[in-house]
Amino acid sequence: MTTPWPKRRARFNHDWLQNRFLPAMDAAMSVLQNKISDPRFLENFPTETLSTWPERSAEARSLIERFEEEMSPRVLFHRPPLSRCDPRTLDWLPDLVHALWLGRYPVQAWISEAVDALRESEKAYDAFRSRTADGLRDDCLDALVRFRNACRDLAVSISRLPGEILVA
Amino acid sequence: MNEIIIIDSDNVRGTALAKRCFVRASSSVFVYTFENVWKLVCLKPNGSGGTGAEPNPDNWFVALRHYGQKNITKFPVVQGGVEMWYGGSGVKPDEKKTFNIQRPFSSDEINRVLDEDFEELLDWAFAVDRESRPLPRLLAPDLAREHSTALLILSQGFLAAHSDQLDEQIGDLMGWNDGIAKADGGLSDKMKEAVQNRDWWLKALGLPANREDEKWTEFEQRLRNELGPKENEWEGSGTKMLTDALRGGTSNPNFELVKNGYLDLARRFRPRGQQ
Repeated sequence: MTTPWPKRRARFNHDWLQNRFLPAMDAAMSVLQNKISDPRFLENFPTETLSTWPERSAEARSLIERFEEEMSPRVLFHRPPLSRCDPRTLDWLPDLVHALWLGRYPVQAWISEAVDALRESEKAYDAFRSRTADGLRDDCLDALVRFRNACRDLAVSISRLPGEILVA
Repeated sequence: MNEIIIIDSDNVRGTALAKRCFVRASSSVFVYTFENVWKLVCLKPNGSGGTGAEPNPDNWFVALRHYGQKNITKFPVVQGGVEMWYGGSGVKPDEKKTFNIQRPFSSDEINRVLDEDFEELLDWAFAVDRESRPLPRLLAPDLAREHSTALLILSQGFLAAHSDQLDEQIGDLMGWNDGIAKADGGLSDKMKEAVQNRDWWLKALGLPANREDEKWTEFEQRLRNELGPKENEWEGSGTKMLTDALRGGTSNPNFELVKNGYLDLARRFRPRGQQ
């Protein structure tokens, strides 16, 4: 059984991105700015933290792409009580309910915003990686800040997607 | 004994939660949060407040604590008080405490919770006879809104099938627009007859035609639990009148009845700030 979308979102956005990945990037920034001295952290940062991004980025993409399908009130017709509607009703009511949901909320705008934020994060990641081929040094700081900010915007845009099925 | 403390390293989320607590707290709400250093912030309903507050530690009767701050042992609640726990991703099975907010509590989600749900939560938390009361909706895992949701969606279907009678207010509230009307392709004419029939509703709601059947009593009880209106709000509400009409069976549901039922249900369902 697939994990419900809100749970998957929470695991990605809250548990991983906001509470693990972003704090790790903040820590890396503090080290590069010489606010903290931790050479070992910098040494491990690319393998222990950064290397997880490509897989997580794919997870974010899937999460955003699946939002409309999984969080539309149309899914309520897959289980009782609404699954008990007669077949003729099931021909039109689920699609109507979906269309009304799209009419009530800026769902497409929310999704586009999240897709754009993800694209920016991916670009910022590539730029950052290209600067770190020879290891993390002070001159990587700007690229790291841009990547961190892009990830923070991604977190905000994913948070904006409602975590419950909005029926009214 | 009216003080509430929120312990949350995320200042934005802690503040969002504190503001929602003003639905019940008459004086002030304290947030112990992290902004470079841990600090205690006092918030007042008029927006004033600040750091350096000197609360009476005997007053902590209700504490709302983020799971991440379980190691902070400061600010214990007094004997008879209550601690409720929450997380940005909802209840964590491995960190579950006695009382857990069932919904994910990110700052956005906190703003979506209905006032009446916060009111119910805090009324329960401050009640002397708390132990003999049912758990409030935010703490009870089994109080989903499946019956009221079904009634609301069927009402949407009914109203869409009567799109020629929709006024701007109800149309906007439902999300009806010209695009849907064009895509409709005469659907409303075909469906109007079906949705006006009481059986269309009963079949979807799993209810019998016999109004004396116990399933009706159970359905109404569940509906009231899900919506949580007080006694005087339930009697005479649009939802109650629609339910009575469906149960009574003396006439088929009409546009005004369904419209009023929908407006009442939608008001209870709409996220805060969009009502």
